[in-house]
Amino acid sequence: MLKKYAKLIGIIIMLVMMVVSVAGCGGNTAAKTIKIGVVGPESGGAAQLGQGQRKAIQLAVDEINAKKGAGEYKLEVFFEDDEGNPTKSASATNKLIQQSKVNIIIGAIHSSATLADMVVTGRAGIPQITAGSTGSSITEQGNKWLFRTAVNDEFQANALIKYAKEVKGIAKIATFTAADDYGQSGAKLLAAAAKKQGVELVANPTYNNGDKDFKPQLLTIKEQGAQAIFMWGLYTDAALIAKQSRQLGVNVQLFGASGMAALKLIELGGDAVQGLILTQTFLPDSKDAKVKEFVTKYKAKYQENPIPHAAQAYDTVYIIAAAVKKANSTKPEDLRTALTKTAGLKLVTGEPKFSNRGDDIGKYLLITTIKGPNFELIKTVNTAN
Amino acid sequence: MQYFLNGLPIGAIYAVVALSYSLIYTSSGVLNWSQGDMVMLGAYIGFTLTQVFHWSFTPALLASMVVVGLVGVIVQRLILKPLRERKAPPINVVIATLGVAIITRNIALAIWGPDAQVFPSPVGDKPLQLSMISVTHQDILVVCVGILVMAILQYFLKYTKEGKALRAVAQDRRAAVLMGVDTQKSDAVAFAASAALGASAGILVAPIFFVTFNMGAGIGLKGFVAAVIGGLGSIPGSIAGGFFLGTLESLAGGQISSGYRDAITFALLILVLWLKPSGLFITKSRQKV
Repeated sequence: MLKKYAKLIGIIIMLVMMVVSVAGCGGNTAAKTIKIGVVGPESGGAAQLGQGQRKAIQLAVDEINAKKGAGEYKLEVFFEDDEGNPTKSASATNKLIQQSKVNIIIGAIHSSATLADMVVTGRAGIPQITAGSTGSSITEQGNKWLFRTAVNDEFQANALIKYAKEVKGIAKIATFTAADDYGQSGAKLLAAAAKKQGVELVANPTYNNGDKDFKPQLLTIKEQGAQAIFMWGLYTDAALIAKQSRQLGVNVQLFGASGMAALKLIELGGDAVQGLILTQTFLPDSKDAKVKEFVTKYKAKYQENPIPHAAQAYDTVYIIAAAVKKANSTKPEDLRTALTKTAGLKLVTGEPKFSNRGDDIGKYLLITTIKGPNFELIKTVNTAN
Repeated sequence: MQYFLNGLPIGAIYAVVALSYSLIYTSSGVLNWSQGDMVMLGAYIGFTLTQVFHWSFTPALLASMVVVGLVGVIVQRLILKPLRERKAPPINVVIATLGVAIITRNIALAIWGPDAQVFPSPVGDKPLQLSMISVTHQDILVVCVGILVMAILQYFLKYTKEGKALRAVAQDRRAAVLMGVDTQKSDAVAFAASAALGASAGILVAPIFFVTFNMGAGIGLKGFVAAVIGGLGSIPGSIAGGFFLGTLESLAGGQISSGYRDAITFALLILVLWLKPSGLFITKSRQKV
């Protein structure tokens, strides 16, 4: 009885294996695919950023596949959640490379996570594009596999301080930054920019990720007589800092960088974040035709406005598609070469062009303020200068 | 002065959480690591009641304490009781409570999602300016309700039958059993009271810090440090430890270095464990609870 079945089962297993292997071969010859791995925080304090990134990438991949935007290649995408944690991020990157066998990686959002992932992709020789990390040190590592479609913090810090001095007439500032790679690179850049512009930096306290009580540092800032506070961190922290500074009666002008540009900032911060000035690369209600088109499509699919990280991630997929088409290959080295030659694209957040260090120098940088439930454009500057 | 004042509301929260650790520790000999997540659960239930069902603050506070108290009983019935009946070593129980913490956190993540939620203050968070210092109504509320909750606990322990049973078990578990005290019941009471304490801390802290699924980890750990610094297992010690840690953090963050604030806290913990493991504010180990 058992023996009979054993034979039968053996035959079935063999048949299944044959079908699978045939299907595998068929897949390779019929349609060429390029596998894109995505790493980002889909839970935790910056979940909105990671989820925006995921949604936009899915949208772009579907569009490109529908209109054959990557030549003969079909895009296939794999998502991993890193919770914004560098250790988890590096292991997620490893998993994408080892198990999912991806050809290229988009990630991560937290600069500290991206710095950890770069080591992995650099070693494996896989191109990595970060659409969310702005920490300046990322493109100072000399890692030829890394590209950035977010705006380097250096550009942002200069633009913000310049605006504070020239338009708002501010002479004494304080920085208040997260004690991680992102915040510390921001603090360094703000200090350098302040020195360059001749603005006095009177206090530069920091906070740890996950801190909820910012009053001690805010009191120090108050005592030093700063006219403006420049925050460099994510939206949950920024909202709490804004609230607590108002509670302490510290009514100075607040500035922030693109890392906190999420509608959740306005929801969490309420009245306290009204008038906050920050740099961004994307505003959903812009008059630009490309932006309008993207927002309409995104809204139709997800019933919400896209965040800047989503726009940058969306553009990143288009940059990859163009590179694949140009390289006509999925080999990492060919993809990398094609990426360095990116040109002639007009996308949602700019006209991408990579510098030798891997920074996208064709981006638009928007100086915006919070008014009511929205971000409002004050002026547009170019990242190239 | 302002630094000191800022430390008080945080200190009150730490004190309540420290108490909840101490209560379970003395009465059942267990370190319950899910205590911080009871704080989170309390905050979320309060958030749901006030924001979704539009309850007012006080009923929401009480209801949340009751619900989380019941969760505490469930934890005791499902985790502590079976382990105890199998005579499991204490370390197993501690690890099991860690498991409870992880499960609770993930349930919260599944129900309320990963993003922070705003919990508007019932008394508004406009500052009250008194010459050089400013305090918010919420801060005053936190300190007052915190002290009130601690006073109620004290009354409960001193004057009710369940409270007396709890103290009897804390003094000598065997003797209490011989005297006819139901230790299972007193364990359940301890878990319920601790969880309810945590829930009250959660609702109080929510308007200041927002509500997030992982808020329990930080508050729980700090509450534990406060309990150890003050003297784990002692009620006055835990309260003193909470306020001490709150003001110390405020001062350290403002005057020394904000980046090293947590390092200072944990260095102090190690120092206390090294030099005076019974706690800073305990003269000698006599009556517990």
